[in-house]
Amino acid sequence: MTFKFVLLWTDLLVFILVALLLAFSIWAKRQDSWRRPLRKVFRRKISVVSAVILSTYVLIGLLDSVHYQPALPQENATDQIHYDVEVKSVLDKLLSPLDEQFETSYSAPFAHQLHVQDAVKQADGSIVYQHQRLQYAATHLSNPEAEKRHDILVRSLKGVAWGLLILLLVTILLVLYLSHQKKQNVLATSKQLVAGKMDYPYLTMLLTLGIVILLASVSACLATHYHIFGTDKVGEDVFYQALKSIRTGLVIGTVSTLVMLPFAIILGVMAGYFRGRIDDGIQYLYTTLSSIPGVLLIAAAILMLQVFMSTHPDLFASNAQRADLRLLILCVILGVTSWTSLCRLLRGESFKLREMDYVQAANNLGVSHVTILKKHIVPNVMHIVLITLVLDFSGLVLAEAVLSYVGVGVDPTMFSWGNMINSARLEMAREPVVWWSLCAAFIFMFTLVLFANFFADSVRDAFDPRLQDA
Amino acid sequence: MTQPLLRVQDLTTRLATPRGMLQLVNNISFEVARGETLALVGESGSGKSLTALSVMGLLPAHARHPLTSKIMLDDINLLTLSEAQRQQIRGKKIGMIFQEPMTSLNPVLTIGDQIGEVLYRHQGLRGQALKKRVIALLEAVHIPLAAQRANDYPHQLSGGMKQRVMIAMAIACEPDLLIADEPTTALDVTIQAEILKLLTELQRQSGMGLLLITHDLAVVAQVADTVAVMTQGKLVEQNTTAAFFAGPTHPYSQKLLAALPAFARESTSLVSKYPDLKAEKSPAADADKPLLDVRNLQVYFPIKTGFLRRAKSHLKAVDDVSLHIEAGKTLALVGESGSGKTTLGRSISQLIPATSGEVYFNGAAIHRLKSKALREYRRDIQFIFQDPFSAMNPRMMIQDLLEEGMLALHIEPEQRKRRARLYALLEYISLPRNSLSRYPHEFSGGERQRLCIARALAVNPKLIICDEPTSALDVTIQAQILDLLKDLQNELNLTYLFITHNLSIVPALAHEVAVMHLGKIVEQGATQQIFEQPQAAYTKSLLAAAPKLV
Repeated sequence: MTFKFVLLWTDLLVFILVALLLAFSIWAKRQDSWRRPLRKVFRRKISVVSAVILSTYVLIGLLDSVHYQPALPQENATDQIHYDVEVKSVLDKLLSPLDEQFETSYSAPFAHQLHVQDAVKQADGSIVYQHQRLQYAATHLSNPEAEKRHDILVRSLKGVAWGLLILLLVTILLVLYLSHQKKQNVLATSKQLVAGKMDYPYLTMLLTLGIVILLASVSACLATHYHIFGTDKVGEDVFYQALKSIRTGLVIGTVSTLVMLPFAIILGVMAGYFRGRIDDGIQYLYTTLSSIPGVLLIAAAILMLQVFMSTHPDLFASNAQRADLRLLILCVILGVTSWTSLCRLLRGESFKLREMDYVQAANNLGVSHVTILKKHIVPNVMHIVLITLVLDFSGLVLAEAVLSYVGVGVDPTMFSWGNMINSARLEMAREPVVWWSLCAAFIFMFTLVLFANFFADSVRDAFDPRLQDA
Repeated sequence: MTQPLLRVQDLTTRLATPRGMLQLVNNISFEVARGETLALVGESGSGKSLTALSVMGLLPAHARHPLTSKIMLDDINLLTLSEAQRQQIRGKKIGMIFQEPMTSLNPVLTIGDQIGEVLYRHQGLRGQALKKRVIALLEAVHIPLAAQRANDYPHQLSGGMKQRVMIAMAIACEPDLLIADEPTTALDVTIQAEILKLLTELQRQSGMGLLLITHDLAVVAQVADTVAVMTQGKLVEQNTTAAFFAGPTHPYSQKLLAALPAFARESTSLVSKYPDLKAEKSPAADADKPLLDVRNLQVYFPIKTGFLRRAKSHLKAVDDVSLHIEAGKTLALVGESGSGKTTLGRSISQLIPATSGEVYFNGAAIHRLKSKALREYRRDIQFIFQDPFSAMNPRMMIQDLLEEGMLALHIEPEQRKRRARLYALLEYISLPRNSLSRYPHEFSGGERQRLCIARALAVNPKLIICDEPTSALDVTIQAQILDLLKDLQNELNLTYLFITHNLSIVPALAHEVAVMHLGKIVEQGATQQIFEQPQAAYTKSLLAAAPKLV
């Protein structure tokens, strides 16, 4: 099958970010001043758990960031190849056919029929209201009411078996790797691992990984035959939507910080170091900016963008690109409105650092201001930057939900937890109530934000100099 | 002899760390009788403060004592008491004074309230009785206008006054034992003398036992009845003060005593000790042009008040100061904290702009130069700072630290030569070559100060401004650093402007002395002349207050 790669703007930024993260971790491993606190982070069980779960999210987000347009089937071999206007990602491919199986309307999790009753014309001409069978779920069962429970159990057990097999494989690989690294035999390593006598809590890592793998394999075995989180109004699988929303959440959380960083670091450090007029100017800028309600600025920017997009429809090759641009602009505007607090922190810190003797000594050695900022000030405020970044991440994911709820968030066609929650407004008012959309969005977002916060706490504890001795 | 007040028996303190137990205090025993002063002497890390904290029961939670350790106060073993019982004893029977009066007082409560709290807790005083007692206490520690001062906040008091308040708090409940942990280290020399006098006076009045913890042997000689020397967690020598100074037996004690600067050791003639000082007034030197010539330098800081923050008045940090130093000589700038000596040093190297006045370096008027042209002179004037811990960027390797100036000033642009020079520098300060790839936190305070000296030397300076380079260091290390500075001066013909508050190290090092007080130079002259015939009243009081081992 032929296809064409599509590189969306946010894809590019996501890849740059991942590359930066990798480069940073390799660099930090060599720097003593970074290695020690990082080691401290990964010695804590809770942060290892968080790291495994966050990595799962990131992996899904990355898979969802490789986009392509599949070729349309050709009528003759000589025809020019046409590509589908719909942009797909690797995640879609993995989850297929979830992305193409649309029921006609709402259906509850694991249901075999629609949530609502439809009017069906009988052969004798009378009209009967009844629940229709679903087109894609539980179709293999002839008598779903009787067989479904048993079928779900069997499939779950199959999923668990697969999961355990994968887990076993992972464990063996880990033990082999560790014994290779420590240059000791496999048995000794396994004993240490089970006794928890390793440098890092590998056992905790394996257990968390086990839970993640089991959840994944069970849902993989079930999702092919059931809608495990039900379907939404247009009949789309909610589990699929929730998975696709991960990328949106991650992009908002990370790209916004990427936009914010240069503002915060450069302006904050300059204000603190140079003082005087420069400081006054930067202070005025951020006091003004932080006194305008952020939502107002974001709404204005998004509305302007909407007008621009509707007047220039020819600029966008596909819907995905339109939605992507809107996401990017949202990230930028979130970044621009949120740099002030970090900037303020950095200003204060550099203000303190500039009076340190080593900065005075550098001054006296004739080192230029730019070099002093680069070598003495910025490296010594980086721990604050790191702490703020991880703490802000979860806030930004939540901000997306709030903004989409208000209607100035991401494009309505884009999958996001905010959009799911927004549509749940009407679903909650139905009778009988449609609860699964909100529930799925909540579970996925809650897990991400919770573990991001746990991780942020560990990072702060490890890097905060005031907590160093405790 | 009556029963001792405090008896510490086989005290061992261990800290539980992730890497196992760390033994910090090793089997020490001593006694303090009523009305007696025991000085616990040792360098930082010797375990003396930890011992004091053991007596107070203020050790961190992961500290452990074996069952054989005993701390007897009268006939109660403090180590077996519960936390609640210890709280009853703390403050009531044992008072403690800490080193840092600036951080030991709560800044948002008046000093009267803070002293009153102790009295309220332990004696249940309240209302007028409480107020009266607070004022009486403040008077006992010689705070003038005690009734008004009781309503002051800590920031309204000077360092010495704060230490007096701390003492008042410690003696508020008339404790049997007073523990003073480096009570005068953070204070100026004249104030130090007053505080020591106050402590001995209070002790004589009330007959308490005093456990004095200090690193300063000169203080010990003035106050203590008995001396106990600690090093590396062990008590190596214990003797009466007179016997100790007459002939210390343990090699470590001898080393401590030998490290004391000569001035503190003997108060008689310096000339016999340093014959070369006599020849200082060579007429040839006068003919030479001075390397540094400062004329009528003034540095004022505006005090901004009011709505528009206009400068209404000025703080005269340096007020009309003139001095000069000849090449290869050392001028010691002596003064207490707040006298403007650091500001003067920084203003000479143009780190702080001068309000008016002229600075000539090697004949060139560097006060007129702008940043570009000034860079030429940067290499000639270098700084050594007081605190070697804050003087080095903790995130840079030693190589980067030492190279920084060379790179910025384009000295030895070729990498191979630069490396050779780095090795040469390390040789000067006698540190191994592999120091280059290590980080500052891997070095001790003394080694760090050596590295700071190497950093200054890296750019071939002519003048080095040493801003209290030894005051953050232990006394034996202080002596090493001073020796190093002297050797370097002989070898490289360096000129020093040596800023210090410690008079005792001046004679060994300086050719000339300038005494600074409240931004002005009150007296200036050859070292011998200043020390033997001080003219200004302030110099006389400084010299009189400096602690000596007589």
